[in-house]
Amino acid sequence: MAELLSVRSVTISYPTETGTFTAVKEVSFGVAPGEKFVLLGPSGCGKSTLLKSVAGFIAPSAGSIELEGRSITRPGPDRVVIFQEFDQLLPWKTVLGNVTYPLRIARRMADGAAREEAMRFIRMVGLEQFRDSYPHQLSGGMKQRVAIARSLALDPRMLLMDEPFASLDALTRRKMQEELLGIWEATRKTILFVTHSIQEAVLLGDRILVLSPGPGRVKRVLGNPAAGRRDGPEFLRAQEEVQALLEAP
Amino acid sequence: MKKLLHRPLVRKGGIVLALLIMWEAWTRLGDVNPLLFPSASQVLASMIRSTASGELPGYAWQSLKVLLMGMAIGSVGALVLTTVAVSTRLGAEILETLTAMFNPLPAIALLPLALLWFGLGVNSLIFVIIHSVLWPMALNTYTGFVTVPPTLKRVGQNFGLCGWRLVTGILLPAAFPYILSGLKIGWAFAWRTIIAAELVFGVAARQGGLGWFIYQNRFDLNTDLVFAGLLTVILIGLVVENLIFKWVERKTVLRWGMSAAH
Ligand SMILES: Nc1ncnc2c1ncn2[C@@H]1O[C@H](COP(=O)(O)OP(=O)(O)OP(=O)(O)O)[C@@H](O)[C@H]1O
Ligand SMILES: [Mg+2]
Repeated sequence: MAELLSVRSVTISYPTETGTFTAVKEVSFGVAPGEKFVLLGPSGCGKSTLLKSVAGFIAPSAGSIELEGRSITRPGPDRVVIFQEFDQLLPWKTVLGNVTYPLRIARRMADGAAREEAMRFIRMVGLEQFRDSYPHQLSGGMKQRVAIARSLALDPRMLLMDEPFASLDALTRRKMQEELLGIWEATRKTILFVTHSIQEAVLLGDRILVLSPGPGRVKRVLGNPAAGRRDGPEFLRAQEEVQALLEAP
Repeated sequence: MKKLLHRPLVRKGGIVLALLIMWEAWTRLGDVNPLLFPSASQVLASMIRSTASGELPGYAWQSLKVLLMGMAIGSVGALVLTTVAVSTRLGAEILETLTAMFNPLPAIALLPLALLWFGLGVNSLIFVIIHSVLWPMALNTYTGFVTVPPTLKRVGQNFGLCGWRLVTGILLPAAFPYILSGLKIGWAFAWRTIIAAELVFGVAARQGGLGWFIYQNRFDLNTDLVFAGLLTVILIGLVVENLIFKWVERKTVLRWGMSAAH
């Protein structure tokens, strides 16, 4: 199968006062269309850095990142990022406004069409009663749902999710994971998902790339037939396998 | 009735009323020269007469017109300065140095110089007003821009916004609480400055507003009109600060749950 996203021996460095700091070193992987691909690793191993590079916020110092064969040079609405931070919604716009606004500017949709399209995705995440609420009136989980609706409405080639559920309580996190799986079943969007939770990685990832820290390198890419199910022996076995891989020197 | 008394606005109105009554009683019962301290009723009557004849509103409008022109130019200047400051390091240092230098300087102290440069005319007044709003507004807008959460900027870039469209689509609204508080401070400075400037300025020219009205009536010993002028200055200040700005706040930052934390 042709790859949608190809990351080829990518090295990413940050300028520092004393020179440069290499956060990610010679990382390669590919993501197939319709796949849920998880980047997993301990804190500081460069997961967010990699994701920001795919998003086009940071240029790699070596290597190449291509989406459908075209080199990524800057951010764009074909790769929408869902951040961990709750402040990713525009506070001066309502829920509906937040989803409609990017449709008007990125997809150049007319007002009426944009609102209709926006409502379709607001309904998908179950927030139709809150369409006229402002972000500060929503809970954290609801804000993340709006961010997901906004990203889906843009109809991107890929969703880039950087620990979107990490700031939520355990119960809400579980619920959001289920909802994301449901949304993926319905839309089959390609997802690049960053997490440091083994459980989340095994639940969501069709394939899991395990990174080792200092600087971030690929440890291994694991296929995960257990994806999408939260119970059963396969789920537990997959978790143990990932755990062992993370702990291996 | 009891409920009404619980509303702060009602209670404050009561305080004003009590002050007026005390003023009236004092001027009537005590031995007060009305040329020095006219009674409240006399002042209010003159104020109403002068308002009805259009004289007082005319002067007030003249002050406001000059002030608004100065504030408009000052705000645009602040925006330009801030844009330079956020885009280059040197720009930021220039802004910091200039505001540190000019902020402590009362705008009114520049009036003699302004008169020298621009002569007796509205231009001198506008110059002082610009000076009184430019620095606080630039400082606030700059703070607003640099405190925009990086996530929000990234979200805008992610939508494909860059350059000027990122500024108007994301940065300006995100910095709005700070811009608004800059406008409030700018207004407060400008309103006090223009009245003071007109007092000095009115001596020679006829384009002065409320300040000149006050000065002129003192000259003619119309003390009641001097008081009426002062009351008008207070009234306009109260209306702008407590009605107009409060209304804008309710429609914007309060509704959005955004507040400029200072
Ligand atoms: N702007 C920056 N300048 C310099 N170093 C940075 C910068 N951003 C990140 N780093 C460093 O790069 C490394 C990787 O950071 P990154 O945020 O990608 O980690 P992460 O895997 O996402 O961690 P976490 O799970 O805690 O989010 C860290 O050591 C971090 O200190
Ligand atoms: Mg991270």
